[in-house]
Amino acid sequence: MNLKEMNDLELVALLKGSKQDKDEAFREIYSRYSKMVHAYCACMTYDRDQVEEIFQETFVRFYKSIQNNSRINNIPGYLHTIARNIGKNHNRDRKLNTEITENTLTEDSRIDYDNRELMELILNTVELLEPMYRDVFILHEFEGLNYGEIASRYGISQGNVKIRYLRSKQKLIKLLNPYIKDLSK
Amino acid sequence: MKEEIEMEGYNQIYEFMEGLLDPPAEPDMFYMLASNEELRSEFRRLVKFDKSLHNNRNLLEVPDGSQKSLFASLGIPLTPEHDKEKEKNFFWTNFNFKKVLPFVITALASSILTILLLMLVGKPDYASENSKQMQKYYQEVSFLKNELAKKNSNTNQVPAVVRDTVIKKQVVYKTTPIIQRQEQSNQLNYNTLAASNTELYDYTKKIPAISIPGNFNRIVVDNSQFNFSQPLILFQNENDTDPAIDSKRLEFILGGTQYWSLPASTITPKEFGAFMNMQIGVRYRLNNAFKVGADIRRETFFQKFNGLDGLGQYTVYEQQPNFTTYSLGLQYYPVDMGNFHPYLVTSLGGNAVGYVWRGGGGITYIVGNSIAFEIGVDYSTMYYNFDQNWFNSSKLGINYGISYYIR
Repeated sequence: MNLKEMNDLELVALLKGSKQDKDEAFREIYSRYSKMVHAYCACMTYDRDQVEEIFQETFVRFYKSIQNNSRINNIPGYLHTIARNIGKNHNRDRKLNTEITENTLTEDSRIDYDNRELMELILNTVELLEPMYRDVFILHEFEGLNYGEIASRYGISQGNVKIRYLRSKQKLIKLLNPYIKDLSK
Repeated sequence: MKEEIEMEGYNQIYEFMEGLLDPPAEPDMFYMLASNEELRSEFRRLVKFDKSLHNNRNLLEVPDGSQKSLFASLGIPLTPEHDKEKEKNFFWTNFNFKKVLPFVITALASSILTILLLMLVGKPDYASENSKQMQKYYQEVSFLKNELAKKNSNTNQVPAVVRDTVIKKQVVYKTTPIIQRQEQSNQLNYNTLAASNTELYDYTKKIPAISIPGNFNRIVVDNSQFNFSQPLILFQNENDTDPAIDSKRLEFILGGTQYWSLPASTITPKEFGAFMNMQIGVRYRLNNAFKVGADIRRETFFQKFNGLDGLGQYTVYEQQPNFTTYSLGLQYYPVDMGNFHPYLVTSLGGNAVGYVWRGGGGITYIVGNSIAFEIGVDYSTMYYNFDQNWFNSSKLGINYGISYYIR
């Protein structure tokens, strides 16, 4: 049983199986989407501790949702939804007046807000892509797999992977066009 | 037509940004960019998109503690394979050469001093040379006994057990007192032996006169290495009867170790058990290049791990308990430098809490037919499980010891 060759729906089905199946399926899902979810969490808040809290809670809730027989067709989309809701709750619960420490000032001065915001938009938009484009984009951009590795994973040619990747970027930029224009002002 | 050209331009700028566009096609792409405002806008958007992804790569990295904490809270074990990437990078990302440099220099200086001292007190070379010749002598005597047995088998005068030794070597033999003593102990017929020697080894006629010092009593010549035009005298000091260390297969080791935790430990052990940082072991020589062995070590490992405590609170634990580790190892000797034998060693073992792997190298210095000193460095890693999660502790050590070869 090679989990790397399984699609998301097969992994979700496996998450409802035996303890060993659950563990292995969760590890695989985690390895596929953890980086992307972490980046998304990091875009929501600049508090590093809070980023880790949101990140961990997102996966815990995802795991529990599967155990409660929730229907999931789009894992990255579902993970984003959970993270977004947890992030909103965290921000709502935060104090209105936050003490500004020297550390905070130093860190914030280096942040490129425009880039961070665009990153958040990209991460939000990825889930809207069709799976054949979304998966290739995530594996190449976030998991760092090269075209050959992605091709062997899906059993398609490298040329096909390149085309899918370029198309995914074109689609994302088309979707983000109004925001990118706005950010450029 | 215009749309097709624009589409071609779009594709080209995406390929260009990915480094996939053929260089001959680049002038066309830049020409289209220069002449088409919409393409330039798309190019700007693409640059901004890529810049955002590139500048925020650090956000993708999940901290180790966060990952472990997540898996711990779900009760899912993190497999060693899952942590492989971190293990692969651990040495280069966390290893501080400056920190261990003083220890490495100390180890090297100690090794050089030890070697110099051992060279000063070491025995002259003739001892090992004589031992090698002694070994050869035993082989030759066995051969002669065998030949004699064959010769006498026709007359049914030799016991069957003598035929067991077969050494396919032809020798030149000259009867000496020690051979006669052998014959006496075996109760053989001297006349038969002398006759058969003359008949089998006619080369004796070609050997020039040989002079023998009074305290040597044996002459054995290997025919394959013999130059008939020169006199050949090989002697064995009869006082030296211990076989060479090279011919012994079994050895015992007693040693000590100085360890440094990686990363440095933040706490000291609560107590040190008896024989702490000592080891005893046994090794068996498979051939000139490989030895296998087993050892028992008393040692400590600095452990830092996290998990949920009894109240479900995330907790980081630090401890440095005493362990007794049992290991099986393989030692490899790539080159033979006389009395110096550099080696590489790896071992796998276990103790009360987990598995221990070691790898390292060093040098053995032979000081006699039974004794050798060793000094080396090793890197040890202990893998252990807590709350269904795997962790590891590493340390660097300088070890030294004495080996006693018994047979």
